Amino acid sequence: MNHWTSWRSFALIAGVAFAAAACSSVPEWTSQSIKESAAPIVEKDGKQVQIRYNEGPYSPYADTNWSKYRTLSYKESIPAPPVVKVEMPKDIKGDVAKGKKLFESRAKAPCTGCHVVRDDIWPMGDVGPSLVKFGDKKFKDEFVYQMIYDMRSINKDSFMPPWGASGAFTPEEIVHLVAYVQSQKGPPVKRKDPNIDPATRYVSEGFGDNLDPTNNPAIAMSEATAAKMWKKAGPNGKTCDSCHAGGAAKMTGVAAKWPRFVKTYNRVMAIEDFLGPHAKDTMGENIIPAQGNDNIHTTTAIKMASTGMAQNIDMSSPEMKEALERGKTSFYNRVGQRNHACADCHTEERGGGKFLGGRKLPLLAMPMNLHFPTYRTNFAKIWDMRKRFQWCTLPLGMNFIPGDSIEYAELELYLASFAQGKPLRAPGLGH
Amino acid sequence: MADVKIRLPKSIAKGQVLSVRALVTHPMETVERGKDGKIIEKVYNFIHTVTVTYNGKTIMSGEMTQSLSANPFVEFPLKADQPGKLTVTFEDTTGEKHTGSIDVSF
Repeated sequence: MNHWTSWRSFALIAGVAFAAAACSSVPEWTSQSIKESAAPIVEKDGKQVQIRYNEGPYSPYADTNWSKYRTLSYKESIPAPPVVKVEMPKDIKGDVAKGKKLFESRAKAPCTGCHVVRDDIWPMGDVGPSLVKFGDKKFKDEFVYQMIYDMRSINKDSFMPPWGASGAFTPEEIVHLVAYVQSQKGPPVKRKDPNIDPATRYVSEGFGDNLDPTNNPAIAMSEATAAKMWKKAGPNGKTCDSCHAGGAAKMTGVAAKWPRFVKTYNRVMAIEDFLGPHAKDTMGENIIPAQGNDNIHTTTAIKMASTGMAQNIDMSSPEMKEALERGKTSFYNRVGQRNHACADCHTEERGGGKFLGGRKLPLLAMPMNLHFPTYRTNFAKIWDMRKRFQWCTLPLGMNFIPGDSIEYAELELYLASFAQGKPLRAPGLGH
Repeated sequence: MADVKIRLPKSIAKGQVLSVRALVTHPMETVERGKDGKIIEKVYNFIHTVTVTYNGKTIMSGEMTQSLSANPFVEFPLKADQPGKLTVTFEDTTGEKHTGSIDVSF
């Protein structure tokens, strides 16, 4: 039944050859982040699972392994999923109630994340077209079935996930979904609560001044951790303070120049990526691995020393130019079971600025990097951009790639390329 | 530990009633339940008392309880009738005192 998987084995050899050719100039990198970010695949109860953060939103995905779907790795060998055309099963009768349940199922999609329907469901998003009058269009069931199965066969530019082709929904489930969306017809819908409809929804004003230490706990958290880390000695007795006297607060202007190409490691790095290897080389041990709280907090403290200063990354070297190109390619690269690209949610032409479920999607041009690392009120934790990337892609059905990977550093560089000249404002503050 | 941050208005006039805000970084542990649904008995670490002193004299004390969010803040009015030191202390169930101070000047 799964066209996608069978196609994979056939295209594997071609895929490997292509990847090797395309990435010949990308340096090698072995992750030096914490284990939960490097995310090795291990066997647990006879199943292959990926070790990830056991906290906050990641926990529900603990036992999910998406290894048959594409990732953002430059070494990815799984080809782009082919467009699939299928016949609608004739022996199954669509059930509107079952379809409604599937349409709203958080474990499945939910379809309501992108589409508005007639029922008052919270939260509905408007990345995709509203379906409140879909049934009035009088499309044939077979056509609607194909739309859900793999929309790309009807509109090659569509960024709706190929729900059937990817195996996310079974053919029977899609038949029920067809029955449900075909039931969406009638007079205009009146909502009692304007917040149900994304078009009339209240837009959050945020959580107040992120640079006020009595409003954003990340400031005190970062200062305390950085002070502790600055004095912590490595095996050779050296501390951060041995070379960088005065603490993180003295590193004025440093953060405005990152991410940048670091010759020693022959790759583009953000501050988070650099701290661990740098500690290893100067103090004898990586005492501050990427995505660990010590690393994220210390990075935040270093960035705070450049608050208000304009981002000023030197993009002129050939290495930086190549990295920027690769970062842009990653931004438009389709990955995961959903076959989504970053661009689907974060460019104006697609979902950017619209609601995905209850959350308003930020736009690439905003820019998206300057407030990172950012405090997350719902988890009472500071996240760096890499934990955010990993969280963006996990629900899309993509296994983790390491937080300190070159892929993410170059993707971050691409996001940062929209922020040149704009003031740094970490730590951010949001839900 | 600089784990208490206190905010005063940028400029203060003598005798003015102003708003003071103090935030403490603290985990404020909430009740945990085992797989059987029963509450795990242990000493949960949360702040139970907030004390404010102004030039050494206690001018306010209040109770806090469990189930308040992590990193909580308090906000209260203060009649700034003298220059001096304002201290806010948060005491938690492990006995640790988290203290921050700020100078009130006109």
